[in-house]
Amino acid sequence: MRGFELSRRRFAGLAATSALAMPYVSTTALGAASGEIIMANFGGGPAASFRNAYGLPFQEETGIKFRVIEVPSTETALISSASAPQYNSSYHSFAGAMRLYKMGITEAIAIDDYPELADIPEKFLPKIDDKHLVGLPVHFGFYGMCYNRDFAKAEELKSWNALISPKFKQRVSATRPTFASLYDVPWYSYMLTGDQKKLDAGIAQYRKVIANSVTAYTSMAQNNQLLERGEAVASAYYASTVWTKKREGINNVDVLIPEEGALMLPYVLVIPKNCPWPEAARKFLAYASTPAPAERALEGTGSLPFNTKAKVDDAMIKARFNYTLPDLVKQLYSPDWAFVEATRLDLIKRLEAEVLMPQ
Amino acid sequence: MRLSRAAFLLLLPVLGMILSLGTGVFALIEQSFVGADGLSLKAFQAFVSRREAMSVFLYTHQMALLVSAICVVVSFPLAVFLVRKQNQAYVLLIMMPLLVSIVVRTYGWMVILGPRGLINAALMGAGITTAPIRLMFNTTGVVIGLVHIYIPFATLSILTVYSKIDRSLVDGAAALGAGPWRVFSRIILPLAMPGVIAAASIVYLLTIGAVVTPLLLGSIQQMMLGSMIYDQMLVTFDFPSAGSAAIILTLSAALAILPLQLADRWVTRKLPAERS
Repeated sequence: MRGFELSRRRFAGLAATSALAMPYVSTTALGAASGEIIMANFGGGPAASFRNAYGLPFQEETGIKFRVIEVPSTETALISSASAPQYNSSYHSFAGAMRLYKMGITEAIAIDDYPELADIPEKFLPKIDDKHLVGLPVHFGFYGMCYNRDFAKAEELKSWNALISPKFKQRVSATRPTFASLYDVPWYSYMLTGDQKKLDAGIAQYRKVIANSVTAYTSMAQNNQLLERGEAVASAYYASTVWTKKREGINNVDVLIPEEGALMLPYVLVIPKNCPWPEAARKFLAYASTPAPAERALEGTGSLPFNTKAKVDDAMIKARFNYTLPDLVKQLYSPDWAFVEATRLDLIKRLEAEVLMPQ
Repeated sequence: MRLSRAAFLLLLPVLGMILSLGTGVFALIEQSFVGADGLSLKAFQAFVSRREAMSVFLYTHQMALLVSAICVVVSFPLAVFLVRKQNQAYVLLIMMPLLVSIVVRTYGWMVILGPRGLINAALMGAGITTAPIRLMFNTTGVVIGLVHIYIPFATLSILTVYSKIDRSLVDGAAALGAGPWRVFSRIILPLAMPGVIAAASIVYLLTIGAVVTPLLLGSIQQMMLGSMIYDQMLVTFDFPSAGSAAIILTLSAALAILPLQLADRWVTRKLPAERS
């Protein structure tokens, strides 16, 4: 057997390989020393926005590596990895975060650990008790009346009842019971009775919208296509999609808030229990609660900051959403998300019983 | 039989795969039979007592039946054509859609069948209709999408059997004065029946489990059980309901194709010895 000979050529090769590997080795060593942020987030817009607005600047500031893993559902990602958590940060709706906390999957967020929470209005804190939250609120969007400007005029959509008008028969779209239980029905219940808990009114309204719809969309990609092509001219839908479309230069889909108002959609970051590098995760949440990342996220996806100290470009918000931030906040309704979460599973079954049977 | 060490090592990946798949299925079965107070059939009772769940269940089987029948009827002449042409390029043409994901193919149909899609634009452009015809977001759309996806499977099944039919039997029957219909009904169809039965069984089972196409080309009243199970598993995390629905679907599918399997045995017994 020949012994190992370190020729000049082989030495040069080894040196070159080592030099190339240095950045990887140093970041891995850095990650091992100070931890890493492994975030579960929805694919596409939200993941990219978090990477650019939150993750990479955080990595630069702290040296803690940031990775975002794109998943179809962040709730599913956390539930399926509950016994061996893989993520130490994840992005959720208020109701979703409440559910995860109730299931024992996420840890409580101690209000005292995050001084920046003092800059968020108290009504927007998803509280467990006076000292704890189910997640750290980062920003919000809204569920507005999205419509195709080529086929409908804003004046025709002044009320949410336009979605049940014969004029738009088979020309609107609606979401399915699983998401209507979170957004449409609580909103319609409140809109019609002034009380989100009077669900019968919301269910009846949703049933009428479904009967008037060309289809019940199954994904955001599908509804984006329906709205852009004018196959659905209007829909109760995420305003953030209009922001993203306008940013891409697609201007035929717009959003408005009908006279009854619209539903606020608040989002939080959570920390899974027994996750890897919990200290790094807490540092990341502390960073996420500051104004700077929320200011950056606004440009990407139209996520509106909760932190009142965040400086926002109101002209840009008006250009993309047609309202300034104070105008928006005035017209948005934030329901009791704990009630929404507690009644959701039964509500889905009730809605399925109402709309799944052939008409 | 003793296994050599090499054979045992080669079997390990297979065992690992069976074990990992089996564990998931077993966990799902367990969850659907275990309630808060121990063993329970509550999830099954709840499924059967929900009118809308039973409606979805029946609709799923109706669709499977319809799609299987259409696929067999369309695939038979297609298989005959492919065998007669003896050209691999045609076979490749039939198989090519399998290279594209179901989601992409279904989105393609949305562009063709939509209210502002190609067909409606052509019909309205030619003045044949004044308003769009509803070609999707209903059963028609789901059937078109599923038939398109499953035709290659049905065609291959029939083609394999049809290509082995002895041409001399057909020629002999024709020489003895049998007309084309008589040749088809008395010679070709009986001999090709195992392929037809296999095609129907495969398409039936695939349709039963369809998720994406009914979701995209149907509306809410065209929900199939696969989509309902998907929601229960991944959106509401209602594992007992999903498990019970999956078990009911699997057992009912097995029951539904049982007559086909019995027919297959009967036909095979009746066939000439060299084919059985």
